[in-house]
Amino acid sequence: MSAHSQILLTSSEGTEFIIDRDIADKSMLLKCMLEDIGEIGQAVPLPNVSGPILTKVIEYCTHHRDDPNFLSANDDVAAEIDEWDLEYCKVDQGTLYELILAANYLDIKPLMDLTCKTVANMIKAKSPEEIRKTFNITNDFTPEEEDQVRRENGKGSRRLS
Amino acid sequence: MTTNSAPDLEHVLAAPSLAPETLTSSQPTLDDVKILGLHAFVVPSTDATRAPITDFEQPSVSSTPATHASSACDQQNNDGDDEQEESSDENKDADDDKDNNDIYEGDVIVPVELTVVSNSILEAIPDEIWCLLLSFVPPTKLTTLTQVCRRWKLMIERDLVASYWKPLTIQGELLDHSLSLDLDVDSEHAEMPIGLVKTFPELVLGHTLVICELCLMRSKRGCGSAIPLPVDRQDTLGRVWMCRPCRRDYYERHPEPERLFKAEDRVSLHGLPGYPPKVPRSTGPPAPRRYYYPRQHWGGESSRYYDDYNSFDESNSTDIDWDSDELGGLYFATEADLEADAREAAAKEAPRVLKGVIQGMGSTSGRDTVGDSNDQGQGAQDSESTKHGQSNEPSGTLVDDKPASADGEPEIRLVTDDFKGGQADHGGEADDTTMDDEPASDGKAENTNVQLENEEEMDEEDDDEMKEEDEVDEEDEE
Repeated sequence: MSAHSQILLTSSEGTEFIIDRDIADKSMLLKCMLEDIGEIGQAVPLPNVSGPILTKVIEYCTHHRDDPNFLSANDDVAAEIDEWDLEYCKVDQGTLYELILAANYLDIKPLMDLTCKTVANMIKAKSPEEIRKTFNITNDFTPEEEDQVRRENGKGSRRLS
Repeated sequence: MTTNSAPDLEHVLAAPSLAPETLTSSQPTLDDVKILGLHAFVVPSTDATRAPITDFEQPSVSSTPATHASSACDQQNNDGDDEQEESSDENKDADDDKDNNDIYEGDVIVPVELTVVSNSILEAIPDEIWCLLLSFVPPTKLTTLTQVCRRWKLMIERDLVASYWKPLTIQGELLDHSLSLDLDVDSEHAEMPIGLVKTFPELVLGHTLVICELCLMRSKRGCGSAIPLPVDRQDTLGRVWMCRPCRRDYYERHPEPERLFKAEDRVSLHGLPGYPPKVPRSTGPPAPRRYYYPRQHWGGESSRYYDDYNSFDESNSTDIDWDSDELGGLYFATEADLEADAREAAAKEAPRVLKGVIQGMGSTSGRDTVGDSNDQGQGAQDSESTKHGQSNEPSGTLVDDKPASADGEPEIRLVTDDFKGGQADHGGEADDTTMDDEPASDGKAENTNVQLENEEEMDEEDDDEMKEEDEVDEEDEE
C-alpha cells in the first residue's frame, strides 16, 4: 500500500473526489476503514457530507498534509489559531455548522476543534439575547426563572468580561 | 457545451439533479430552508462522475473547487447529457452579459452551489457536540449562557460537569485533598455536597479571579501581576484574562505596540455592555508642547537669582494680593472694571505727576533737587504725560504748557489760585518755583504749603472716589 495511492470519495450528491491516501488518513474514519477493508478500488460513500463541505474538508486536510503535529496540535485549549485557519473559518454560519458535523462524522479532531473554537468565540462575545437571535433559540424560561438565573449569574460571575 | 451563469432560483430548486435519495436526514428539505446566498451549484449526475482533486494549492481550484470538479466530470463524460445542455442553453440565453466574464468558458455547467442554512442544521447538532463547543468558552462566560434557554442551562450545569467543570477543578487544584473526595472524573457523583459550595461550577466560579481563561490554570499567587489580567488579542479570541505566564508567552510572539495610555487600554471598561463608549480626549489640534527652561533662564539678564516670584516678575503685586483675590487668584476683569482701574490709576498718579513736574522745574533751573536721577526721569515722563492731557487733575491746579524755550526744553509753570496773588506780590520769581529743602522766600513757602494742601485734598478726593467705587461694586455684587 503506497503512500501516494489515491482514494475515491463520493459526496452525498454523488460527486466523486479523488484524493491522496495521506490526505484521507487525516480522517480517522477513513483511515480505520481503509485499514480494515483495504483499497478495493471503489468509491467510499460519504452520505452525510455534501460536495461543497467535502471540498472544504479536503482543502483543510490538504493544507495540513505535511503537518507532523496534526493530531496533537489542538489538544491544548490555549493553542493559537494560525492565520490560514482563521481565513479558512471565515465562512457563513451554515457552512460552519456543516463543517462541524462533517468533522465529527469524518472524525477529524483538529478540524473539529478549530470549528468549535470559532463558534465558541462567536458565542463568547454575545449576550444571551444575541445568542438566541443567532441560533434562533426560543427563550423558554418563565420570568421568575429568568430572574433567578440572572441572580445566580450575578452572584457567580465576578468578572466583567 | 454551456457556460457558468447566474442561477435562476426556481430553476435551481427544481433541478432534477437534486436526487432526494442522496440527501441525508441531516440535510434540510426545501420547505424549511433559508437561502443565504448563491455561489456555485454542483449538479451531480446520476452516473458516477469523478472529480480528481489532487492539488488544492492552485488558486482556481481552491476558489471554486466544485466548479472545477464538475467541469472535469463533463470532460470525461463528453456531451451526452441532453438535459444538461438544454437547461444550460436556457441560462445562456438569459444571461448573455455574464457569459463574457466566464473564466470557465468551454466547460460544462455548473451554475451554483446553493448555500443553505436551516434550523434543522442547528437541531441536527447533537448535545455532545454542543458540549464540546461550549467547553471552549471560558467559565465566567459560560455562566451567562445559562440564561439562553433551558436546554443550554441543563447542558452547562449538568452535562458539562464531568467533562468540563470537574476536570477544571482538578486542573486548577481547587479541591482540598484533605477531604478525600472522589477525584475520578467519570464518577457518578457529580456534585460536591460539602459545605457551602455544593457543586463544581460553584467551586470554579468562586476562584474566577485566579483562573486563567486561556490555560485554565490557577495562579499560584492570588495578588499582584500574577493574577489573570485582560489582554486584547488580535485573533478571534478577543479579550482574554490571562495569567502571567500566558501573557509573557503571548507578548513574546506578539510584541505590544507602544501606546500613550497603557493602563487605560488594558483595564478600560469602555465598549463593554452597560458602559459608555470611549470618548477621545481631545478632538482639536494637539496641545502645545511644554518647555522646561534651564535654571540659568531664571537668573535673568543680570544672572542673579531672585528670592521669590514677586521680585522675579518685577511687579508690585505680591502673592498675598494674588491669593486674597475674590476668586482665589482667578480674576477676570470686565470693561467696567478696566475703566475703574484706569480712573484709579490716574487719580493715584496725579500727585506723582505734580511732584515730578515740580522736580522737573527744579532741574531745569539748575539747582539741586530732592530726588535722584531716577526721580527726575520719572518726573520728566510724568510731565510728558501731562502734556498729552490728563483730565484727572485736581481742582485748583493748573499745569500750563508754554512753548519751548530757547534751550529746547519745555517750560512748565504751576499756577494755583492762592499762588496767583503771591505771584502778583513777588513779581516774576514764581515762574521758577521748585521744591527745595532750603527755605525760600515767603511766596515760595506759601506755595509749598498750598502744594501740600492740594495734595491732601487730592488724597481725600481719591479716598472718596475709592469709597464710592467700592459702594458701587458692592451694589453690583448684590
